[in-house]
Amino acid sequence: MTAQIGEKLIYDGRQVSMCTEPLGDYFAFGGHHPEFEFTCTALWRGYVGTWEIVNDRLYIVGLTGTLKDGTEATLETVFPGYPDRVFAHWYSGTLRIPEGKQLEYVHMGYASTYERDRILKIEKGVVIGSHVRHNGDAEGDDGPDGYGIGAMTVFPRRTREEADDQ
Amino acid sequence: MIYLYWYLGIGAVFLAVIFISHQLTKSPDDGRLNDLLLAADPRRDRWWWKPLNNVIVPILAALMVLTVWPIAIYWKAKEMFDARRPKNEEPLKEFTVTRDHLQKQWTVAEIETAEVVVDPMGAAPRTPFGHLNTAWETFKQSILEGDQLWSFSAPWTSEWGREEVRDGYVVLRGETIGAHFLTRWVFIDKDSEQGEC
Repeated sequence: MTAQIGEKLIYDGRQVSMCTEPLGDYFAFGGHHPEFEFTCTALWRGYVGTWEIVNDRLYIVGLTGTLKDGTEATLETVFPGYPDRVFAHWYSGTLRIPEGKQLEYVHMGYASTYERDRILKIEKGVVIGSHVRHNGDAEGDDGPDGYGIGAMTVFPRRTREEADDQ
Repeated sequence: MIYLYWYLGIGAVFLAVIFISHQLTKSPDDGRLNDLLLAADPRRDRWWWKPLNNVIVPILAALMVLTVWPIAIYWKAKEMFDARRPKNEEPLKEFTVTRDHLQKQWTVAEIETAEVVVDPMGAAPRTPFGHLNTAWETFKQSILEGDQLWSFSAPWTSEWGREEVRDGYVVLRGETIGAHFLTRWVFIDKDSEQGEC
């Protein structure tokens, strides 16, 4: 599996990439799961969510993606009646936010390693702790900071008629 | 020399086919793909990215197709052959709850009181399991007269070999474990337990 595009997280006033997909648990628990179109190998889940932590609570505040029928997906597509903000009460576990320079690129999932990982512990959507894991120091100062992926294959979008045929 | 011309000529035809095929099948640029690509690599926002991406890389790719087109044909044929070959995949291991995982017996009313979601920003319905209330209501339909409801906590190893714990509620019908409703799914990340706070 190609390295995956991360979710976006607004944390301490800045936008960072997050190597965790809390919406995956929502779908696994039986939440409404529309059929997303796979637009490229770096985004098998078919969407990118934008998340925010406000008063130690995790919210999803945006979602971009394309559905199988070609229409644009928004937050309200998954959470009808909640177009702007949804409390992620279903999520327990950790959020991983890579920081610093890349130590090793792995072209699979979120397996690449970075100088640091900020780990936020979440219980039922509430932040209960955080720490920074140090993974090492990168050689040289010329590498890019923060999470990124190296390559992907972009699929041509199917027409609405092709989607309807399936 | 004539063979070289033939080789490059076939490469040029192959390149033309690829180019025309790409023009016919590419999606209209409505900005969403660019958003994705920018999210994948923020360097795309820098001044040098456009000439690199729009001029230099296409020229290098075209030169590569011209010179090593047999490899491209081989990969395309292999892709088509592999897609037609029947896959002999093992069925996924299905998550199951056993009696060892049971923790405490509950009534529906007790669960629905304990699991009401309250959010000060009003970003979740004030119902049992909040946004998952519909899934809960569907699960309740599987409960029959005389069934017991138990909470469970089950260690599990995923298909990828990751250790995890799944919690939730499960129907106990006599001695038989029935349908379950997941409420928590946590990966055991031992590395995350280390570090400085």
